[in-house]
Amino acid sequence: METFVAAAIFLAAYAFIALDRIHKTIVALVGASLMLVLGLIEQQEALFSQEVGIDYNVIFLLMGMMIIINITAKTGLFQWMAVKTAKMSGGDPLRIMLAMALVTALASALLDNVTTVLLIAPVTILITRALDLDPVPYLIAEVLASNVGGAATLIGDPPNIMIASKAQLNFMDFIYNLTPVIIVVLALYLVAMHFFFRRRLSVSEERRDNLMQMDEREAIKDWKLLRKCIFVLSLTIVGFIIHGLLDLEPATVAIAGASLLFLISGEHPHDILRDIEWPTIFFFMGLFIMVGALIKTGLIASLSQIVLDLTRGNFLAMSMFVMWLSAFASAIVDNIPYVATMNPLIVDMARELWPGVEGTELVQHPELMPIWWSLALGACLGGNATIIGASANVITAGVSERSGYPISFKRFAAYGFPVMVASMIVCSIYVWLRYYAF
Amino acid sequence: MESAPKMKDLMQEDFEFIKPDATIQEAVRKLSELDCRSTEHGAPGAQSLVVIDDEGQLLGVITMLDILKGIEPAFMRESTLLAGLTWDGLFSELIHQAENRTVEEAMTPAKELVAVDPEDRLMTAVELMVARDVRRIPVLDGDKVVGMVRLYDIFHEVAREMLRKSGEA
Repeated sequence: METFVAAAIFLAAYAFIALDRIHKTIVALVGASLMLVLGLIEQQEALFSQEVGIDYNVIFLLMGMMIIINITAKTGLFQWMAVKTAKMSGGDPLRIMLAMALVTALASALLDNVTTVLLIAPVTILITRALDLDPVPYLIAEVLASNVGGAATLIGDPPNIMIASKAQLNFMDFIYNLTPVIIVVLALYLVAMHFFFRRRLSVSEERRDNLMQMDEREAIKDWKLLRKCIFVLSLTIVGFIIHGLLDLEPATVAIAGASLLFLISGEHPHDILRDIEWPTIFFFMGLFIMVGALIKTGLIASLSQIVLDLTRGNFLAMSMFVMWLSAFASAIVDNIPYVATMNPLIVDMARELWPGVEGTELVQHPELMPIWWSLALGACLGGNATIIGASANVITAGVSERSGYPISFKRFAAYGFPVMVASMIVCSIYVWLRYYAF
Repeated sequence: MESAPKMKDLMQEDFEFIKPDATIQEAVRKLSELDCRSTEHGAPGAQSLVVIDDEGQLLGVITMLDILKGIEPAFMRESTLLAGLTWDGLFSELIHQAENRTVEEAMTPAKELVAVDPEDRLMTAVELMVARDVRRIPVLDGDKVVGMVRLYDIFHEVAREMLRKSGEA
């Protein structure tokens, strides 16, 4: 009975999140409250259990990065980069599109995708306006690149942050295992865009002059603050690269970076902390509690048994199943609740497969690693298929619509769906070649 | 003792109208003509037009600032850091794009406006101007516009009172 009630609450929450009628944070908090009030999970466990409670590693990593990015965004660095990139492309519309997509992908590998597109979308509309071009293909090109780039690193996209915490993976694990295939996917993506848009974009000489007249230095509001931000951002990235060696959690690195930037920037905490995306943070907390209740009631264990039966213990089949299921699921539902559900499911599968193995040895069992990578690739890249597949897509569509350029579901899917399927094929080949073929 | 003036005593009754389906260009022409013509106390000319329908019902007000807001592209409001990144032709391009939009698209609609009643006392207008940062308030009798009270009209009262008390009047 408890399992049934927990499952009903969770499925209802999923449905409300997908329908987007009630804000997803409210849905997650109501769901979590119901689980707690009905005693499906105890508050003690929800707040403090490592197994079934809120994952504070994820929460604090997100908050730390949001603080660093909020301060950095005020400097105008991203607007500067966008205009500089467009001008360096010499006003050629195709080169601008490819270069801006590349910059967005790189930025997304280091920052949250939503933040990246929020910074890059308005300046993209400005640039396409100068050139008298339709901004929609540019915005779609960037948001797809953002989701691809975000998949490359531990900090690039929330699913990776969640997977890293669950499987106790460090930054370099992601660099070794995901970055290579993302570079291939990104390169193929840019080549495909080149051929697709080659004859579709043109700009007059006069319009090119408009772009060249733009002075990117005008975007930088505070050079002193900019230098401090670049210093702390670089230091934080170095911290991520070596956090495994130092035996520090990623959240520790992010919080240390954020506090250092607070200390040297002189920004008032009140202004910066107010701009943290609290709805996202609370969404995560609500989700973790709901998923915790699912684990407690044994539902996750039953689901993992189904996956095990379906794939009959064949690890390649399991990887492919997880990757493609994740891709299609993430195209329809938010990938964050999806990964929150899949993470404990994979841990449970591991327990079934290797009874007696515990801790890091269990979650990092050599046979399990490709499954984590398949989950990450599917969840991050699957979001590209539809306009609702990833938060970055939804945010970009919002900016575009408010600016007078609405993006229809169909128009987005016309670009996004083929990109998603093609990138999943590339990733499948990669996972097979790297982890199973030899 | 002289009773405090009410809105009906202070308001300007010869305010200027425009129809909602007029173009921005027509609104701009009317405002720039009015701007040159100063009123009885030597106050500046009208900086806003009252938008009414054929029955005289208030639909909104269009001010010089509303016209600027209509010209500024929406994406500029998505980021405060874009204003410096423009080019020479942008301003005139935006102006010509805006000129054929209707007044209705650019005006502040009636439901977002603050208004006063002809019988309201002076302090009502003072409170609204300070709290809502508006300079002109339509005076409504029911849903008909009967006049406009401007910052200038209130200031005139301030001057009269203050200078009379100190014996300079």
